[in-house]
Amino acid sequence: MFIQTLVHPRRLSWLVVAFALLAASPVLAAVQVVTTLPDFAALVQEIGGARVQVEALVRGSQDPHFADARPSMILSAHNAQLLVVAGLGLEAGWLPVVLTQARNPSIQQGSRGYFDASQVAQLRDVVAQADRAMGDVHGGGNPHYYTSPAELHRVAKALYARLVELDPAGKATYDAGWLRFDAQYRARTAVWRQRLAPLKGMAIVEYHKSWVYFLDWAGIRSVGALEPKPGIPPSPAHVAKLLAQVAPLGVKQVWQEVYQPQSLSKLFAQRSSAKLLVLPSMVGALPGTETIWKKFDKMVDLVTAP
Amino acid sequence: MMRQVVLWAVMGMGFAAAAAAEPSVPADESATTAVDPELEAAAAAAAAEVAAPAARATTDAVAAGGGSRQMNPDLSLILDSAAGAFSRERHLRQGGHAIDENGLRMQGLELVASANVDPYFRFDMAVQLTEMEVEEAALTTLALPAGLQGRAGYLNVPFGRENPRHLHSWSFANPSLAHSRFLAQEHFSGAGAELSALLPLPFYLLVTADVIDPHEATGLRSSTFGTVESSTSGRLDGPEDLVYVGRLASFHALSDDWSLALGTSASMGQSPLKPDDTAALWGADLYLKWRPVSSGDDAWALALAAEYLARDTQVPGGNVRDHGGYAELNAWLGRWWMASLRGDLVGHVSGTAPAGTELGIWQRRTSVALTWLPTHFSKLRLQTDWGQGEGDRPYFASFVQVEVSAGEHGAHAF
Repeated sequence: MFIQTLVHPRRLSWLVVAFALLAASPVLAAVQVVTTLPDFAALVQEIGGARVQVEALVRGSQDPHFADARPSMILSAHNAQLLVVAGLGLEAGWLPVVLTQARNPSIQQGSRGYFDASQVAQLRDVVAQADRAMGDVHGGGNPHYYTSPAELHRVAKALYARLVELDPAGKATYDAGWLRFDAQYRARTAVWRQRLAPLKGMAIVEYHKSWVYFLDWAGIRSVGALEPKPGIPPSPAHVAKLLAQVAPLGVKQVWQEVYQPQSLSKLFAQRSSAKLLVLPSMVGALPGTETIWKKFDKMVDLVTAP
Repeated sequence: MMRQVVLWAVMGMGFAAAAAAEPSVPADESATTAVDPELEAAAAAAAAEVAAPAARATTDAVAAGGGSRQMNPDLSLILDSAAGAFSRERHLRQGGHAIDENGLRMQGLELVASANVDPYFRFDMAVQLTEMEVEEAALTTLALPAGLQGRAGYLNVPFGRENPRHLHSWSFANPSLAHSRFLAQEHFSGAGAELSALLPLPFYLLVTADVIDPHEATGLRSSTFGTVESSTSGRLDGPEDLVYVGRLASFHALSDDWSLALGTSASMGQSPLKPDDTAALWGADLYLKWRPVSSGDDAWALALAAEYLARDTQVPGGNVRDHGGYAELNAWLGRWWMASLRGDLVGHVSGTAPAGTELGIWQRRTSVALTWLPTHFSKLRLQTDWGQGEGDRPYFASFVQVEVSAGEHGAHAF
C-alpha cells in the first residue's frame, strides 16, 4: 500500500524533480577547487575571486599530518576540477583514501587537476636516505613550506598558471588576480621584512621543525627543537639536555603551532627565560588570520611584540 | 562459470573506466578574448618559472634515492604480538587473530602493498604471513563515470564498520563477539566483484553491491553462509548459489568538530545448516565522533561506534533467528594515549537451534583497554575482559599487545 502510494505518477514526478534539484545543486563558479591546506585555498581565492569555488579540507587549527579522512572530503574531491596538495607525505595518513574513493579521474595524481605545491617550493631538509629511526621524517623535504611568504608566492604563481590552463575562458580574471596578488605581496613583504629586520640572527627554539622556511626567510636562527626527532614527543631528558645546550645562546623565543601541547613548551620557556609564542602556521589557525596577509601580519605582530 | 562472470565484470569496468577517462578539452575562449600584452607576458613568465622548480624537485627525488623506487608499490609490514591470561580454562572463543589460551602469540604479520596500476586502476593487497593467507587483493577503478566505482578480486566485504578493518586498526586485541558469530573469525571475505555509486546529493551517500563466489576453494570466509561444496550438488548451479551483499552508507558533517556516519547492510546466501536453503544477515551501524579541530585540540577526541546484526538461518525443521551487537567508546587522550570501552552481546531470538551450534545461546563480554602510542608507527595495549557464556560462570582475561608498523603505512578510512 505504501509503495503504491509512493509510486503514484504525480508523487513520482515530484520526487524526480526534487532529486534533480538536489543533484544539480547550483554552482556558479567556473572552477571548483579543493585544497588540503587552508593556505592554498586562500591563494586560489585571491587569484580566482568569484570565478572559483574553493574549499580547504583541513582547518588552520588542525594538525595536517593526522586529519581524519571524513567522507565529506570524498564528496568534495568528487566534485572538484582541481585538487591542491602540500605533498611530501604530509597528507599521507588520510589523502590516499579520499583520492581513491573520489571517483574523479580529473584530480588523480598525474592529471592536470592534481597540483602538488611542493613541486614548486624551494625545499629544505631533503634527506638522502630517510629512515624511521630518524623520526617521522619526510625524505623528499620538510613539508611546512607554507610558513614562508616567499614559498607561498611561488605556489601562487604556479597556481595562477594552472588555473589559466584549466579554465582559459577565465584568463582575464586570473591575470588580474595574479597581478593584484603579486603587487600586494611585494608591498606587504617589504613591511614585514622591515619590521623583522631588528630580529635578524635572533635564536629561537621550535617545538616541531615547522618553521624552517619562515626562519630562513626572516633571517632568524633555530638552535633546537623540543621534539628530539620529528614526530617523537619531547622527553624530560631531552628537554633538560636542550636547556643546557641553548643556555649560552640566549634564546629569546619558543615557537609552536596551535595544535601542539603547551605544558612542556611553557616550562622550557620559563627555564630558559624565553617567551612562548603560539603562532599561526596556517590560515585560520588563530582568530584574525583568515587570509594569507592577515596570517603573516599576525606572525610578524607576535614575533616582534616586546 | 563464476570465473567467467568475474572476468567479464573486470573487463567491463576496464573499458568503461578507459572510456570515461578520455581527457575533456576545455573550450578555449581565450583565443577570442582581447588581453593586455603585459598580462600575457606575466602569464608566460609564470608558466616558465613553474617548469624550472618542477625539474629541480624531480632531480632531488632521484638524488634522495626515490628515483629507483618511484614505480614500486608502497609496502608495509605490520606485526601484532600479544600475551594473554584467562582466569578460567573455559571461556568465550576469542575470534580470529585473537589469543585463545594463556601464553604468547604472534597475532598477525601483515604484508600490505598498494599502488596505482595506471590512470584507471589501483591495486591493494594484504597478506597474513603468519598463515600465508591473502586477506585482501583487489583492483579498484579510479575513472568510472557517474560516481561509480568497481572493485574485483579477493574482497573484504563492506558489511558494517568492523569487517573491512584490519587487525592493526582495531581498538582491542580481539574482535567483537558479533563479528565472530555473524561475519567471520577474521573477515567476511571471498572472491568477487563490487560496484558502488556515490549518489549526486548534497551529502555523502554511498550505495554498494557485492557478489561473492561461494566456493571454499576460492576462499569464502563466513560465519553465516555455507560454501557451495556443502550443497547437494556440490557445485555452483546458478545465481541463487552466490552470496550477495548490499550496503547503504551516509555521512553527516554536523560541524567541523562533530561527525556522524550511519550505515545499513544486508546479505543473502546459502544456509550452512540446510543444503540448498538460505541464510540472511542484516546490520545497522553508527559512528559518532567529536574531535575539536576548530580549537586546536585535535589530538583529543571521543568516538562512539555501535553495530547491531540480526540473522535468519534455515535449519532442518524451520528457521532460527539470532542477533547481537556491540557498542564501543574510544577516547583519544592527546596524541599518545587512547582509552577504550566495549560492551558485547549476542543471543537467540526464535526457532530451535540444532545441537552443537552457537545459534541458540547468548554470550556477553565487557572489555576495557588502554593504548599507548609512542609514535604513529608503534603501540602498546593493555586490555582486560570480563565475559560469560550461557550456562557458564564468568571469567576474566587480560592481554598485553604490541604492534609495530614498518614502511609506507597506508591511510585509514574514517
